[in-house]
Amino acid sequence: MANFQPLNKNQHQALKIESDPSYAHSAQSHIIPVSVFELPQVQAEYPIAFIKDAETGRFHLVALLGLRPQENLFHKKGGWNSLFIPQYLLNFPFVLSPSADQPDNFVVGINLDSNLVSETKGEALFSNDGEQTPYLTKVTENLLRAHSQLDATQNFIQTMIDKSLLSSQSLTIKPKNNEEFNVTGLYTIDESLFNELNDSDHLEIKNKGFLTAIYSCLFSTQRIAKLVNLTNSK
Amino acid sequence: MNDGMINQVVIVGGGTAGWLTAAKLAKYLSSNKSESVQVTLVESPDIPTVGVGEGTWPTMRKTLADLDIAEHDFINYCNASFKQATKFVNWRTPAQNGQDSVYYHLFSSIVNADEFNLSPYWSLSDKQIDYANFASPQAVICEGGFAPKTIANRGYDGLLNYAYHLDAGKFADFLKKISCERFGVKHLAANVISTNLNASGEISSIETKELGRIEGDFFVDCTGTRCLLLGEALGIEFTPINDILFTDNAIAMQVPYQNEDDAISSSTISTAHAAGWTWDIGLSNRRGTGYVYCSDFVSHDQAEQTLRDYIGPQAEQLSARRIKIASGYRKKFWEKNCVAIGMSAAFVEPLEASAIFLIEASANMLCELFPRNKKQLGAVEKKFNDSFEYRWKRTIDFIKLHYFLSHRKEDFWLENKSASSVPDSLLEQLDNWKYRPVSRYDFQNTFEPFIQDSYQYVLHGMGYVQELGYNASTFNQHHTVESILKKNEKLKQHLQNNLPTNRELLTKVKAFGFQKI
Repeated sequence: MANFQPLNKNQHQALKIESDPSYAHSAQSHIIPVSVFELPQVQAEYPIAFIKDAETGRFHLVALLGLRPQENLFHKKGGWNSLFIPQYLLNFPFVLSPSADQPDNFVVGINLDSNLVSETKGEALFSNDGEQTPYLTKVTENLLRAHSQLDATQNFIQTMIDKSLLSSQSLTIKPKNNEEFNVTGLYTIDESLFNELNDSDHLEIKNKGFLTAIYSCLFSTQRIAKLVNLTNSK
Repeated sequence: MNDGMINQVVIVGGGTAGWLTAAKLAKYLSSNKSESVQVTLVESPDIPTVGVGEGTWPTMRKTLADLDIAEHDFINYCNASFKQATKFVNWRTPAQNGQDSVYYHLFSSIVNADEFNLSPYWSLSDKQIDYANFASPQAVICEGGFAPKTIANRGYDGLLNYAYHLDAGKFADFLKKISCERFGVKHLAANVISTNLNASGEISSIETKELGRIEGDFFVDCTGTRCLLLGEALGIEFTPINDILFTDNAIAMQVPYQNEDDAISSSTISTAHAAGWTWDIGLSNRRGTGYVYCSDFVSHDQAEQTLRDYIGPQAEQLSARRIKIASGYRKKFWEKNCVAIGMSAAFVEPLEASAIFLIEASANMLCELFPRNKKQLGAVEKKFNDSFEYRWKRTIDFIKLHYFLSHRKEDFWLENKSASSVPDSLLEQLDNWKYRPVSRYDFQNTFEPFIQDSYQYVLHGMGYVQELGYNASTFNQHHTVESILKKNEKLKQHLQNNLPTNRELLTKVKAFGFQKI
């Protein structure tokens, strides 16, 4: 499934990467992580939620792609039911990971088992003389940008917890021609708690630059209806 | 002070009782504000705490949450682990052909007995499964070494009800730090020499070796069995109960885990022996074990050998510590402007971990009824004494129940069944329960220490024979029972598939902590 290897121009000089407008690698994912800086665009297309990692109990900031585990309502044959693609999807099949010998340095890794990777189709990573192609440079920039946003995202999550703004949500979804089901384990920003925030906490959040992100989260709950519609039209 | 206001509380003695009372009282009374009641705790720098009370009740979760303590901070500091039950081994009968007799007193039932009582349906069943497994999903969870929750549950929330095993010394330290840093408790290290009374016989001050006189308006005696204030200064006598509960000594040993990944038990394991019983409490870093026994029936050397045999070859390198115990309670717990909390108030053998629970309960009542004005003292004194005399007596009854129902034949156990040693209140209840199920109407006091569920786990676990067959038609809710039992079986599966082991969860708690939501 996933065989991530650090990119190496000697071993990987011939590799080419195909693009997949249906992001088929996420076909089984009902949530994907998003960065706090993406939220204004994410909220226009996807519900945003905070969910707990089952292994650590810590919160992740995610966009919902489906309402049930393994259900992705955006992925479709040859395309995607939205104009905005979060960077997590765009960066596939690449990752940034700490280098084996120098953990403070990061290297670009690639999932060699992905069927987007071949020596025949798509964008080349290296030129014939072993130089990075502009495509790989762009990939590296995108990975670095995503990585640089992790701390800010974590800070946003922690601030929401510390100011007690999250509350657990459970939804009952009744698709048109199907049995109803419950969606649990989601946490969202509680609008009334946010409105009751005292002035000093409110100012602190404003100064941290999180107001746009908070409103994005609040507005994004409207997108649940879109997911229910997609469920109905399946 | 002159106008009858109580502004200065002096707690004498640290330990679990002193520091838990200090933390609760100072938090409740806002002692970090100068206009509020000030709380001072005077602790002897020389007298070590007893520190073997290592089991709590589920009430401890509320106690800690109310003190604004993050659950993982407490767990990590105090090497605490999750406790879901007491597992009673060989209490009903001694092991036969190497086969232990085992039953569980659990903290969770599939349905609370005061809502719907499964007990008569079990009594009338073929008893293919034991009562604990019939009435709760928790016995299989304990037996499998599982935790009561996952790392994704928030602090103090559980999928099953739970309490803690903890290092009592560390716990007192932890509460000391929090009391002084957050709640404004003043900590003084000094040895008490004597106590001064005023004209109306109230305590006015204590004299200390290091700091001279320390005055106060109200005193809490947490001096342990010495009972310096309530007993020595105010002359309140001790009522021994060694005619009911015979154990008079304990020998304790701390046992390290042999491997880093050894299982940590989710139950306190209480194993009966010839002249008493051993406790076995798994903390995150070691086990605490001990043998509580009656020296009329076994020598101290034999008792130590029993404990060493129980622990096994590992005990060879370990040293043991003997503690003399005296079960009983003070004729009054509150006298004038002094209340005793902890071992100064009463002591019963730690079979059902009631010690820390009754400290919590005493401190709660003191907080809520705190007499800010001396005029209130008399009324609170009476209420407190009535309440705790009741609670201690019920606790004694409940402990005695375990001995009384045993089928063991050693002298110590036979003596425990002698009619003269059993309180009438207990005999009366048992008479009732012979012909009808235990009922919520048997537990009418709001502050009943042991609830209906607890009694039923012990009665059925010990094999108490109830004759309900003559009245079987009364127990006609078969559909309800069937659906509860189905739910119970489903939950057993679900929990076994989803819960981590006690050790796995404790490792995660160290690494990640619990979220507060």
